[in-house]
Amino acid sequence: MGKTLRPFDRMRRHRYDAEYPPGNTPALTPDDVREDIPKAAAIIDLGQRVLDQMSPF
Amino acid sequence: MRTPSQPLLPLLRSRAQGDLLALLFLHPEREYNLTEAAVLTGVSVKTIHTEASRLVAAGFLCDSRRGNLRLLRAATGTPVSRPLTDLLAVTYGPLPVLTDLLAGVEGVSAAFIYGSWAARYRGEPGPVPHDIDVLVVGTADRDNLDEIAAAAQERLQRPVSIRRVNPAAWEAPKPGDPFLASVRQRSLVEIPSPGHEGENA
Repeated sequence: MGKTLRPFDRMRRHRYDAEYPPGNTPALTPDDVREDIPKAAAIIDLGQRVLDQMSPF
Repeated sequence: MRTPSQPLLPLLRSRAQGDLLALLFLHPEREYNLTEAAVLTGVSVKTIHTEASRLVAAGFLCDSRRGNLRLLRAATGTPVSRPLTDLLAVTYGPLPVLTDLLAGVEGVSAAFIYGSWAARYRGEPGPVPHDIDVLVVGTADRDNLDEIAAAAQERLQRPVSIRRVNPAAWEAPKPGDPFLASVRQRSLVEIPSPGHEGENA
């Protein structure tokens, strides 16, 4: 589970940089996004599998 | 050759001295011959010989002979060694620490430190760098690079960011790419990799 979730924080930072470009980071490219699609899909898949086992709090 | 003093740690007489001390004190278990130390610090063997002799005489380094080779290592266990190691890690540390961490990582064609640390290393005066910016050229997995950044951050005691660009973009940056244009115009310090030695002299 940890390995699947590991990219989440990095992708969250990339998303933030894409919305508010800091100027000292490379621009996000379509290839960057394509590379992360399988990782994002794996996180969603994991979420779907554990959702009914999680309490509201 | 005497290398100019520079602002990373103005207490030292030269950048070569800082690089040599950092190499040895951040690898206290290892011995280096003069040629290895010269290659890894990007200066001549003669410069390493001069700096090493001074530091051995002062008790900061130990040397020994193996055949024709003169071997150097950090003098550990002295009252100075621990605080000096800490000081070197936060000043000259980024180059040896990142060299270690990026060695053998798949998909790294080249790697550079840019930003304020690179500027200080190159002699541009300014405040103490509060973070380390690294650019990897290649196709390395970004989550691996993120883990390396976290490991470097722990050793260097400041935020480390590793950004990645693909080799084509690095070789021929698009005119409208402000990041690559800016990075190429400012100070860059190449991180040596096996078989691809950095030019930091």
